[in-house]
Amino acid sequence: MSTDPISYLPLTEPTFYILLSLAPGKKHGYAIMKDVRELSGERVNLSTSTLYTAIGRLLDQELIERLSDEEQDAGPGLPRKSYALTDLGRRVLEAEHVRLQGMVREARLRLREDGA
Amino acid sequence: MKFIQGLYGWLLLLFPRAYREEYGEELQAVFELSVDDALEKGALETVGVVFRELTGLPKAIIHEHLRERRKVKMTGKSASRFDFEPGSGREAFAALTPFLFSMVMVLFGFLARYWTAPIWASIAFVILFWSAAFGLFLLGSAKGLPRWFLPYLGVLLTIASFLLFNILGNFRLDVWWHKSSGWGDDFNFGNFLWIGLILLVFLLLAISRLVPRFRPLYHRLRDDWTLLSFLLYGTIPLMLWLIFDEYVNEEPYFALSLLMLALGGWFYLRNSEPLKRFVLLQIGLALSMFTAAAGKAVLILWSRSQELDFVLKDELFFTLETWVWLALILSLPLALNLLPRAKEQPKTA
Repeated sequence: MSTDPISYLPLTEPTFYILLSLAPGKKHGYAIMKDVRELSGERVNLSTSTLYTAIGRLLDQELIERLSDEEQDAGPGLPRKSYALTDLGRRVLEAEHVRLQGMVREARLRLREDGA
Repeated sequence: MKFIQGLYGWLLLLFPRAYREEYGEELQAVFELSVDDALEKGALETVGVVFRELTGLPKAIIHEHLRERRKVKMTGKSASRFDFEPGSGREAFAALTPFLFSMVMVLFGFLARYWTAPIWASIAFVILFWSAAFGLFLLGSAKGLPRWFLPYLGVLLTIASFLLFNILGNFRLDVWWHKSSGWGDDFNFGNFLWIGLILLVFLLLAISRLVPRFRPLYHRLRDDWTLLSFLLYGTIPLMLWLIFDEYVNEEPYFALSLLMLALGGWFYLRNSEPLKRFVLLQIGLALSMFTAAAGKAVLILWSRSQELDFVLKDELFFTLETWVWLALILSLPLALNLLPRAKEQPKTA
């Protein structure tokens, strides 16, 4: 696996939101699913299987890691596994953030020029 | 909703086994939480969630199968078709062959009495039967004595125990025993068969502990003591031959007893909790012995022929005695596991 964050860019929208969802700290699958929906303004509505396909790929790429929770940490009905960003995952997210910022900045400049 | 949850659980079976074992429980839990949340929001939301979940599955299933294939290609590790995965049907079939083959052989002998098979069919059956059994034996030896192979070792132990018992008999030790022990007939000399078996178990443990080549087996037996019980479970088919010795038309009951054993073994292989696995083996043994006792009773009480010169009480007692011995022998690993273990010495630099 490449350790250069740039090689993972650009991220797809679901991947970006999954990584973003994990930025504050570890989460269970269901919490990620709900967070992605909220962060995307209900545009990205992942099914369980789609979410876990993405999670599997991110684990393979070592952008996230799977953690075993202590039994008391997991709430009733919640799976006893959670996911967290790895260092590489955080750097990829930051790189994507910079890329998106650059895009927005350029778009803003051009749109301002057009409007002027 | 239970139906939908159950259906989802069944559909998860379509994922590759390794993926299912790793994520199946999580997928099911997240799906149930999604549906529960949707139920609170109303019927329309629930239908939407269920629809999204079910339509998302085919793509994910195909994706995971392809990913599994890619993984195998990348690692170059393709499980040989003879590496029977623990808990799989293949493993169960390989492990239960001593029971199932004995059953087939018993039934074949029964049918042969009423139907004369062409000679070529008989020869083909015998060749197929023995080559399959011998082939599995060689395979298990070559594969480092995997779990499915342990009942085969049990069969070997029984044969060794019979040989030992016969050697003792040849020296007329039975006569010496009855004269000199002072126990007279209270302690049947036949019980030395069981004592010999127990001694052989300890010999096996000692060999596996001392001979480096077999040490992995010793560590596996120490880590999972039910493996030794499962090994000893393999002794039972030959003991059933002893129980039905000299009977006539006993084959259907014999075959049924073997089937009970196979069922106990099947449930053992499918379970992961040591104590439950041990109990399942004991249940298999108990059902098998009960079937054998019932079969004997039927044969003695209702047999029209006068060929059976057995006393029902004695025969039932003999079966009960065999059961107790076998149950004790199966429990031996549990007792060994309860013994305090020497603490691992910390490694010093």
